[in-house]
Amino acid sequence: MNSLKLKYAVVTALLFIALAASLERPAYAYVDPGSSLLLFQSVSAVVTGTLFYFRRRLKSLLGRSSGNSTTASEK
Amino acid sequence: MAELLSFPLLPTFRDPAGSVELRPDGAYRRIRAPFDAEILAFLALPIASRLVSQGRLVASEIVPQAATASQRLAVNQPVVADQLAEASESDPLVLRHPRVSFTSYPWEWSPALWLAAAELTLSLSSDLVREGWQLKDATPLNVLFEGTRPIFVDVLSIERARPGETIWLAYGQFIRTFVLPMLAHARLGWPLDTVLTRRDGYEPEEVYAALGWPARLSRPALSAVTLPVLLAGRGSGGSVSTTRTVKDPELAREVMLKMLDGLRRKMLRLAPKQRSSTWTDYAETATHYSDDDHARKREFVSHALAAAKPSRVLDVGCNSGAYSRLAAETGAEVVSIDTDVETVDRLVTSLQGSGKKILPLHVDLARPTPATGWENRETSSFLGRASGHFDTVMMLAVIHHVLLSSQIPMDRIAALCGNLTTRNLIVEWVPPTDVKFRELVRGREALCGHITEIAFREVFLRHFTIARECRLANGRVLLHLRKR
Repeated sequence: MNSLKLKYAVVTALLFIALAASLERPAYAYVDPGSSLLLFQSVSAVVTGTLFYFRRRLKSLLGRSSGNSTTASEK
Repeated sequence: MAELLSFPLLPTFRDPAGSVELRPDGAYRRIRAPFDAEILAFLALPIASRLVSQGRLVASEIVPQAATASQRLAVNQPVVADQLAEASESDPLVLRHPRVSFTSYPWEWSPALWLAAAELTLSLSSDLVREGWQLKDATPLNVLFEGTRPIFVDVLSIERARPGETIWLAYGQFIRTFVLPMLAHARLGWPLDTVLTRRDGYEPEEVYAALGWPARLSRPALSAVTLPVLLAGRGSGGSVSTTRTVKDPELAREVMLKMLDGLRRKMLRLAPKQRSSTWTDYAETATHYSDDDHARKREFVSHALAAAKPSRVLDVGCNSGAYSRLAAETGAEVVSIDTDVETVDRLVTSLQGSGKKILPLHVDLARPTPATGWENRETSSFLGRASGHFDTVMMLAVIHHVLLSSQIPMDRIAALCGNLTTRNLIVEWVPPTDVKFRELVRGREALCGHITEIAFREVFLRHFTIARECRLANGRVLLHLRKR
């Protein structure tokens, strides 16, 4: 259980580092991206991204643990 | 027709990647390097042909350079030799798209057409994102209608998505030009036609100021207006024009698709509950027409249409669209206009998915859509587009509104009709004794003393000859007129 918690902590840290260090470069669109709307979109992108990342991690963890339990029952 | 002609439209100029010029035989799009290679790569993909065959994306054909030069000469545009040389150097790629039968603008659309245009823009975006592409802009002006079916016409809006991109730069434009006009219409009653004066839609701050707190907290105003405004208020206000990418492309695609889905749900929440107006139940509740007169009117119009064999019909004051449908049954493409946006919206909703070639638009013939934009040459006026386009015009049970409500002199109406149609006019004369005419007079007898059937015939017969006419029991007269 402790190792699972540790895994989550590491994953969260990595995720935020990845998002924080994500590349920033000048936009080359000719449409006005707006300021308030761009800010809102950035925030919702981080939220959506985080949720998606956790869901995927959780799925793979559950997948692995259920896989382990099958092998355990087979033993 | 010369008096109705406006200055010709300018080729589009906002997108630095290229421009579009409308000509009678098609829309010609010149694409500057290095964007030409990207668009050619896209057009070669299976998704491009799939979108075109589904009727969601306009077709494109590559025009060989020599042909472009001769086309220019053919349409009588003076081209000097060095201009040609410059064109072949700086514009290596020219695409020709088929013209959509009648150009319409968002300020002439009812809410149902706005929703259809938004739905197409978003579903196209989702399909593109799944293939590693995206739209670089998202405005209703990128969509035209064939009947009530939307077609995305701005091929150059499609670009390769940058790997790992999590921000859609056109998101703000979609909110400003699609979501906020619809939100202001649904929640505040701001007319959709006022976007005529708003090339880039509304800013969240403008709508925020007009909304009360309960409305600010309701969806979709919360995420489209309130949160962005509050966030920006707390933010530094510094440079935000950056893009964000992540290393994981699957995560980026998921973020993009979720965002597009969120926009779709925002638009759906703004779909109007069909409201009723004076005109929405007009055809059903009309008491000034007996069943017999109705049948005779229908028979007369059918007969006139059969004789006219129209290919393009304008139905002025279309109401529920009964006569537009008759015209469409003859195989003609029909544009139906009415001054009542609720009626137009009901007609659109009833036509969607039917495949009928009827495009209902919210246009007042007495105050038709003006030309707008830079030099008034970016979007054209309704009369400019209608000029020479329609071979048959129907004005059924509408002339008394133009005469009395809009106070247009009879000879001006006759002259406009003469300019609008290239061949036929099917018109219904409503006499001053008619109950509907009396309702509009409202005691202003002095205004309408000169309005008589004799005067009507005299001014209309200056421009037309009578092919057939029929007097109904209720005193109204139906006329099929041919242009002199």
